[in-house]
Amino acid sequence: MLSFNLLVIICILYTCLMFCIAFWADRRAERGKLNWLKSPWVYTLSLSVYCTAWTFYGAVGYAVRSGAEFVVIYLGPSLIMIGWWWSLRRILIIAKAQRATSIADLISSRYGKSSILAALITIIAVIGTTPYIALQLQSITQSLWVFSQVESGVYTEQESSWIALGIAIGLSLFTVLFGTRSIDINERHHGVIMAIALEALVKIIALLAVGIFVVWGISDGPQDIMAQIISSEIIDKEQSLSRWSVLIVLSACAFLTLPRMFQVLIVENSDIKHLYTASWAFPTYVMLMSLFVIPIAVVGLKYLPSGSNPDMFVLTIPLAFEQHGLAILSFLGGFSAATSMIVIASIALSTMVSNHLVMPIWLQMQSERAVVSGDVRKMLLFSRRIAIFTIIFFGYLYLKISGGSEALSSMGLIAFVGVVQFLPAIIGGLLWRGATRVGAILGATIGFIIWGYTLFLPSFGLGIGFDDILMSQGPWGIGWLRPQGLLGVSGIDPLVHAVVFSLLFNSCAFIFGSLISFPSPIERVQAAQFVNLSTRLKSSLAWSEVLDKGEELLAMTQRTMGAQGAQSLFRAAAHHQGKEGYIPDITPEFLELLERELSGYLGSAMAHAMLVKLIGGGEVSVDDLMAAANEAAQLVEYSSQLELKSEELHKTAGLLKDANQKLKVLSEQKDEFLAHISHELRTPMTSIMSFSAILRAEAEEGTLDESTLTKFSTIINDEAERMTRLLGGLLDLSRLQNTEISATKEDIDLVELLEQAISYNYNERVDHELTIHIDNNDIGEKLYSNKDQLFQVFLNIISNAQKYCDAKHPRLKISAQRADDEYIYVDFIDNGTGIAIQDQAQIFEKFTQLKHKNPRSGAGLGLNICKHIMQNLGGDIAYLPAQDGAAFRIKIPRKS
Amino acid sequence: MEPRIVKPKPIYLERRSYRLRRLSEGLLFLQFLTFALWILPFLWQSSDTRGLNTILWIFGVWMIAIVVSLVINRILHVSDNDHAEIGNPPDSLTQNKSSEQDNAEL
Repeated sequence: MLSFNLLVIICILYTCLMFCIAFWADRRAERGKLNWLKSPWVYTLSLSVYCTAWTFYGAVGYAVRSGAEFVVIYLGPSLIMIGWWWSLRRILIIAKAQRATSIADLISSRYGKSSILAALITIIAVIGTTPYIALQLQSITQSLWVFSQVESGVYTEQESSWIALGIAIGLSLFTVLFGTRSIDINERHHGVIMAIALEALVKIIALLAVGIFVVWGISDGPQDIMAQIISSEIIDKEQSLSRWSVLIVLSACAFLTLPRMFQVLIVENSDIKHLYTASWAFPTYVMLMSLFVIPIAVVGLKYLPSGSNPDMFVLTIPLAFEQHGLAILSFLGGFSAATSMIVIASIALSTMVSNHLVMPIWLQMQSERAVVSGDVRKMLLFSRRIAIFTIIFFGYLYLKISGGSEALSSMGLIAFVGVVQFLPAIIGGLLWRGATRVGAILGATIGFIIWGYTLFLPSFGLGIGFDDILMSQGPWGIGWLRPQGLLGVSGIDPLVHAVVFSLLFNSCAFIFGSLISFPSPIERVQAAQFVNLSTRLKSSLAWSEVLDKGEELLAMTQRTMGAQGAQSLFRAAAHHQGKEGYIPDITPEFLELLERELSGYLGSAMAHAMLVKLIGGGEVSVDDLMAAANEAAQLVEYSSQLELKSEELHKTAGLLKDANQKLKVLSEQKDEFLAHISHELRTPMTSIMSFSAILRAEAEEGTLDESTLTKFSTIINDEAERMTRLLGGLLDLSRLQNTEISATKEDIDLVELLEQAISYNYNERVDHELTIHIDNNDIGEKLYSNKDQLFQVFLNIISNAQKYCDAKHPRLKISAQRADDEYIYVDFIDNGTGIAIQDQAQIFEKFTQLKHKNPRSGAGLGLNICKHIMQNLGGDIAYLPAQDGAAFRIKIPRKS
Repeated sequence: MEPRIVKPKPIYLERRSYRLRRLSEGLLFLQFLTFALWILPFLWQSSDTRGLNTILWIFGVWMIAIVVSLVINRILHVSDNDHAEIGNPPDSLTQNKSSEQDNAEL
């Protein structure tokens, strides 16, 4: 009797066996004994990770439900392998040249090593794969449950959940142990692959054994089976051409784009020649896997009680016929299928997550010190391990939340449609140079959204996902947006609908995005490399200079690869160059090799970035040409800025020159002024001194007569007055120039003020008569201004006329008129010869004296003072040309 | 002027390479042919044994395709080992190999 505990023990023993094999294979690989670990047979068997528990158990259930259609998911991959030369080989060569570590890495390499694209693909892959992992866990618990039923000790749901968790933890441990022993993907996971290959053997042997038992043990050989098939209901299932062909293409595409398939097909491939074998051996493998599916389904339906779960026929048929050994083998086959999928998928996803999500963020955070001080290797391993646990745990969580619903079993094909969204970006990237990053991001995003909307979310069932109304009438009642009837299409299979629409919109968005965007230079170089396979694939690097940074490179490589790996890599390279020691010459070849090696740890973009960061400017790659171009652009800008600045400086210098010139002039003027003042003061002083000396002498001698006394003292008085006038004028001027005079203002009668000024002038001694006529048409104005200052201005003008008007009968006409609301013009016009045009500009300057016969000329300050006063009062004084004689116009504001 | 002796050259300098190239194209053809043949049963008139015949047909096509693929791949493989140039020079293979050896030395 088969005990449940025995089964658990066998299960544990089997897992231990896998551990041992993986460990042994890893040890052999470490010692370099790779001979048959690298065999094409191991490679071919590892590809069987395509056949998960979903296909191992589920194929029979699928056949019961849909007849022969189950086989399509094997036909697609067979087609790919048969035609490998035109698809797989190409991808493989490019992926090797680019050292792609995952599908995300490959696609991002093509599109200018775009980290956004890589992150996007990683996220899609994780979302698509997690339910798939849940499906595997479910199949294991389900198969255990089948066994526990035999023993009548049915375990509860709670217990089954614990078992699932235990399996998840065990698988995580296995994956972490053997999947992240080293982080060089190029070194490959020999241990894991070996274990997977062995599990593949177990899978196929188990299924074949059950098949043979069904055909020859239960039935009477092939003839009998044929008869049973013909009479069974399975064979009458209606097949649809569209679904059939779409599913073949879909499974073919998914075979290339599933992360776990990329891992075993491309990353773990050690020699492209393995495909010569795998090309026919893998189709053989999957053909054998499907050979007995229909017989098992037919026999199961015939012999097992109705209502039995057809998904478990592989297990329940041997149990029903008391073939416990066969049942255990069958169980191990299913167990193998589930575990190998989980292990490889989590390795592939953890690589993607750590390289494209965790590391970029981490490096960003460490931006300054990352390369130098951070232990990238530890961080990578750590993030990868955490990622494995997280991904498997998510799978468990998903299983627990969804409760292992019917939805889960359809998850296989749904996940296919999800990952196939990468395909336009890959095919376009390989065939079309015009494909750009923007197009790839746009296409993948839109395809992903449509996949989620039309297939993924509806798959949760009506309760969890979309409700009935949404499904039948579309969101907001818009029929064209029904999740399974986009654009009003109806009556086609939901899966076909989702495949067609998601890929259609994906491709359209991809093409449209590519057409309207412009690729960066790196992208264009990569595009040329991907598309023109024949123009040999040189690595993306083009190191041109020999650099002396060997030690720094070694230090950095040690941090990434680990000390031993880095040292032996460097020593091997040095040895290859015929050098002793650890530091090879930094040749372009070596740097290329190093970048490729590092790519295995970090992904190509990251490795390149790190090397560039370290070497810094010594090399010429496209990336760095770009950086150099940027710098050059900055330099150009900088120099133009400098130019601008120097122009400004030039201007400033010009201004300074001007200012200096003015200062010089001013200084000259000052000298002149001082000379003038001293002269002006000295002349009266001299006469005062000489005349007072004469007076004193004559008084001493007693020869002083009355007339002489009068004459001389008059002269002295006159000269003293002249000096006083001069000093008074100077004082006024300096006061006006240096301080804002806040003159007290009052209401002034203009006529009265003018008359006062005239009468004051009459009081002075005059040489000849001046007739003054006030033309008082508008003169009855009242002004509001400073009386004393205005008086001084009037006085000055009138006395000037008195002094300088050279007419026979000098006459001064004073008239006033209102200019506007604000100003009054007061004009003083005499009948003399006036002022010559060339002199008119100067008369308001200091010490300007026109050549004049009049000996009573002043210091030349009067008009200058007038100007200052008038400007202070808010008005002005100007010479009015083209009048009868000298004419001055005084502009006085009416109000303050 | 001395008469030059010109050896007659074959029109196809690399007959074998040409043949191999066509063989690799044969793989592509085989891929599409197989696909077409797998779709074919949908065009059959319905009969009582249609279902079974479909299954047998599919597996039959499958086996033939495998055998043809096996033959072509064997020839290609042997030629590749002789370092014949097929389509693109297999230097990616040798490159790959040398890096593989580097790894082994480590």
